[in-house]
Amino acid sequence: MIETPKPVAMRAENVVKSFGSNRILDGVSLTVMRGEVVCVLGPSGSGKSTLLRCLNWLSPPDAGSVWIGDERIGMRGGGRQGPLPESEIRRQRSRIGMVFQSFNLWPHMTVLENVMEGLMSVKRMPRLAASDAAFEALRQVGLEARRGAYPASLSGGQQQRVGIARTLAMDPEVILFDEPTSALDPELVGEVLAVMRGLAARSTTMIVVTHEIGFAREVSDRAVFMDGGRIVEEGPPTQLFDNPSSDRLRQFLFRFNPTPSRS
Amino acid sequence: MKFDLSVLTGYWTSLASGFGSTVWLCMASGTTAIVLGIALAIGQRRGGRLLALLIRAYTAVTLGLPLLVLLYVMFFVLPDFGVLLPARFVGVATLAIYYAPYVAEAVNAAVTAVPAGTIEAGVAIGMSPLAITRKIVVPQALPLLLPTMTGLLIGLIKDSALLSVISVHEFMFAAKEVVSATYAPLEVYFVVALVYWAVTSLVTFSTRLWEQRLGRAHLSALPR
Amino acid sequence: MGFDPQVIRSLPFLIDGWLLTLELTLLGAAGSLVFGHLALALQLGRHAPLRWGARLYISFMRGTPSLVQLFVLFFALPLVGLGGKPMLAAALALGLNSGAYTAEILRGNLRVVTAGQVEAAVALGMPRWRIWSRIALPQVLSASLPALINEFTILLKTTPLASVVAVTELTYAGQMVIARTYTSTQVMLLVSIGYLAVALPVIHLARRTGRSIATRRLSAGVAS
Repeated sequence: MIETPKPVAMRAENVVKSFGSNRILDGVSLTVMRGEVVCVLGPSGSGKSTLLRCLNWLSPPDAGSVWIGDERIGMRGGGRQGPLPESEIRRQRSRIGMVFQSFNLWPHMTVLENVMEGLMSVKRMPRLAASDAAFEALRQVGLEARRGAYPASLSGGQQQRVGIARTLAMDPEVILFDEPTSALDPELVGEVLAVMRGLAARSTTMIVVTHEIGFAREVSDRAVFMDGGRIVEEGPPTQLFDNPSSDRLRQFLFRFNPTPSRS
Repeated sequence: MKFDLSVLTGYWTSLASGFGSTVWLCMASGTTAIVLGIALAIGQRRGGRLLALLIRAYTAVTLGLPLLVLLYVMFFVLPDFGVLLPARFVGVATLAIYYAPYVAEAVNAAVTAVPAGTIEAGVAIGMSPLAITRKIVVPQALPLLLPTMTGLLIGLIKDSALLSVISVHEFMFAAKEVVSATYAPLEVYFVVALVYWAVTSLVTFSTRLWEQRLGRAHLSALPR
Repeated sequence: MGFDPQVIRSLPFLIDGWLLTLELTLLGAAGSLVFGHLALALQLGRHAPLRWGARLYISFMRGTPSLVQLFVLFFALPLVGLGGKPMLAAALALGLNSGAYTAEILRGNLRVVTAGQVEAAVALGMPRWRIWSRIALPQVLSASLPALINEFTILLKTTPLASVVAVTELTYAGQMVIARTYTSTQVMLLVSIGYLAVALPVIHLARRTGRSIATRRLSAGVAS
């Protein structure tokens, strides 16, 4: 049976997550369509990163549900109850890509090996095929020439691009970006954003937690503003950034971009 | 296949006296090792090139030779040169000679780790080198030394068992005698192991307490 | 330098003993890696009794003299039908003893693998055993190399213990020659050279490995 891609790429329904006595996510719901770029913004502590980590079950939510396509992540859907076995969850995770703030490359492997590893370990690809696919992914981020280098000899921006390549190689249905440029020196941010713009132009489904308002405004189809564990405002970027309707968003934007907004 | 601890009744006293000997031997060799080690450390820092070379050669030999071989050398070779010493003495001396370089290394590392600024302050006031050593270097180096010294002490306690091989009447030797009397080696050595385990655990535990107490005093002295 | 002709004739016998020492060391090293990894894996596992068992094993091996451990093992083996095999007892005792230290060495270097690296692997959907074998273990082993080489030297220096259960390694061979020929000094000199010839180069190797790992890490900048 040929599977036609579903319109909904990922969905979160009333996700609740607490750490100890702190409720970080207080009933968050979000639907992301295939090919959409959704940017999530908000002050620190608003739960943005936690939401992302709930989406790929890195940090399972306490309540609510998360879906990839029409498959429920982490828990048995349909009539059955209870968590899915670890192997199923791993398979689900392999459909979702994640790019980390601190890149998280493996220092003892070369760039190429870093990108290949997921293909061999998770998708059981033979070495040669994995190597080719990895090379292709590196080419997409412009780093195929550095494939024999070790992460330590790369700049932060290059390392992050390798991180993106590592995710791309897995051909995920959706890519989650957890503040991908926050740990970079300002002059290195541009090269990573450029790669991300390229991905967006190719209709990659992306959920991006970021502080880069310029990027969010230009590239995203939809922007989401979170505060205190909830989604406060949501909508096309022009609407959110130029005509914020909530006070909190106004305050937030003012801090980042202290120019008076157009009324 | 029987494991019966009651075979040991009546032999507990001889085991206890052997244990007492071990304690005495460890204290004696430990103290000697510390004195010798400090001497080596001072010799390495202050002595001339020849002394430093000799110390390095001595350290290399003790690093590369098994303790048992050193024991045999001291026990069998010295008499060849007319030096006849009782086994206990040979045992204590060998343990001290074996452990001294490790003590020296630990002392050197701890002293080097003392912040140079604190020593400079003493010099600037006009303190004598002896006073600086006593009042500035030693109090700061001591807490740094503790973890390593604990390890060395535990090693010493365990290695003291080897002295039984050259017929020194200590715990292990007493155990062997009990074994030949009871034909119950498994039970005897099991008990022996438990005793050593208890002693080393006690040492570890008490130094950890001591470290904590020293640590607290240290923190209060540092500027914040 | 005049060597007693009897000693010279005993040279092949001593060399056989030396080779047996090397064999024991290598067997012990193999056992050490196996038991060490096992103990580490159990310590990190999900079953509390296994975790405690591993910790007890490590505490026991590090807290009791290897001589006692050897005797316990030697007298326990017949109970499982493996009696009369001193070489097995010696190799097993060495492996088990050293394994505890190996486990601690590896455990101490686990922090080389940052949480982020593990997260990236989990996010990809990598199974746990692959995260261990492809991501964690290579880095932990690499960081542990100097300490593991040092542990190897300690193993070598522990092999003379086998002489107390009549395994004809170098020390026992030496003793047998001395008993026959009464040439303690010359034989012990040869025996010492036998150990130093292996131990000193290995110690030197450990120092150089330690340095090169340290310099590699520094040039890599912050731990990624």
